[in-house]
Amino acid sequence: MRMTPAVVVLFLLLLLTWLLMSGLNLNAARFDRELRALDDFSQLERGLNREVLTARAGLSLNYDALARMTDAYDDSLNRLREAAGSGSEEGAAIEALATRAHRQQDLIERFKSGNALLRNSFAYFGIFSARLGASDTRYFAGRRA
Amino acid sequence: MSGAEYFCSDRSSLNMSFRRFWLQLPSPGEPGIARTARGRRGIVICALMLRSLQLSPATSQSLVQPPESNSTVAEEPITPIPEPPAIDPLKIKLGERLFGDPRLSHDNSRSCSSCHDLRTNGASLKSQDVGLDGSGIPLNTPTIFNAALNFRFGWEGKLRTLESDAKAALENPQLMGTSISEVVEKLAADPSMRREFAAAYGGGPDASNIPNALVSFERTLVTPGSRFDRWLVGDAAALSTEELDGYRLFKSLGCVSCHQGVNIGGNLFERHGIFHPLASPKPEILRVPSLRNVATTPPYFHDGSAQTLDDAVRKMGLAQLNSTLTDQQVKAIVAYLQTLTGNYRGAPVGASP
Repeated sequence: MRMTPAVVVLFLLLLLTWLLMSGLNLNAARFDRELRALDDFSQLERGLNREVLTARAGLSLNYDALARMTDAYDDSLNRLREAAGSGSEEGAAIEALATRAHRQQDLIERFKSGNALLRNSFAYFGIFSARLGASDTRYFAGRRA
Repeated sequence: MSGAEYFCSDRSSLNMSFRRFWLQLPSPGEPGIARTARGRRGIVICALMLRSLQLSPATSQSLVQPPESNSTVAEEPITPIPEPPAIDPLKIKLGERLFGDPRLSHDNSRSCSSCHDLRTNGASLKSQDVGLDGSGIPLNTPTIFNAALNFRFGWEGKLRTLESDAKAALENPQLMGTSISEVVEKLAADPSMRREFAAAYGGGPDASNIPNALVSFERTLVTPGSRFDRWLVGDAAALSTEELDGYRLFKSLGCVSCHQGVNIGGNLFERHGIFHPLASPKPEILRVPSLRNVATTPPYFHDGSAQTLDDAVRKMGLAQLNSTLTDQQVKAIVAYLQTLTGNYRGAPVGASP
């Protein structure tokens, strides 16, 4: 059956309209916000690991940077939740991230507390080295006498 | 495994070596392992580990040394207090008014400034303030000055934001005993308050802008300009020799391991009574308090049991560092701590009203 030009044009218009509607992403702005928050979350998590290692190696003079970064990490998770909205498909995944973030933050606090004590414990090496040196001096002086 | 996971795990070789060594440590004064060959090997191994980690050993230094040349902020574990952030002056003014407004308490008998007296030290002089019900509040009132620089709020650090801290204080039955909705109702009935809220927030008082106004004011309650902060930025004459010796001791003994950063504390949790009991055993773990303006805020500790700074320094040395400090050491550290008093509105904190 021959198709009239009008039918062909109508068919093409309908096809193009269908393609246009399929290509529209009404949630683009939301997804952008979520992706940005997720990027920040990942970046901050890597930054936290780096900051922990820096603090452990004694290259960080205080814990202010770690505290600020932890707050920013928590804030990125809140932004992710807000962008996703309640009842979204990503909700379960975001809650899994939240559990992970909570554990990370708990470990970081335990690390700070433990690291502070460990740094003070190292002071004993200097004290006992000094006592060892003094006791050796007295011991050998006694033997010579 | 993240960095924090590794260092908190039993697999960290440093933690294992540390634990083995720790079990053999004698108490100060007791003959210990130092004379045995095994003890010497242990000390050498641990000293090599120490060097490999580029940690500086903390040894006591002589108290008689000439003043150091200008130190830079980048080299010290403590940083100066910055100027307060730029906040809408209308919100700050409103927050200051709310801070002194007794309508923020249930029975209109007290305001925030009743316990946090800004004319003196931002806290109170009592070991325990009195609650709304007449009973003693179990924890000593901390100063509100520089509280905004802490990473968590309250003695136990359970509150994460200043807004949640403000709300918790309003809703605590011993402190203000009210609710946000009750405060909103009272303030909304006041035409002058409605005008001030409209000017600052574009609308009347509500559950969000009341804490926000309080927090906006609280963020301005910082005390820059202490003598120690001036020394940090290069004023070599800001500290005397004794005060500088006190700072060196503060670092070498290990006080600075917890009391560091811009607020000289306030950025980590720690348990107290590590070696010996310090104060009331509960709560066991505290958010490390700031030492800013510490000379102006007796009594000390979470239960207010140390009446003087001298007493507090001795007890902390023993409880947290297992160090029995000499009178000279305590005097030097107290002299240093007195240099941490900053200025609020042009006057030193703690000055008589």
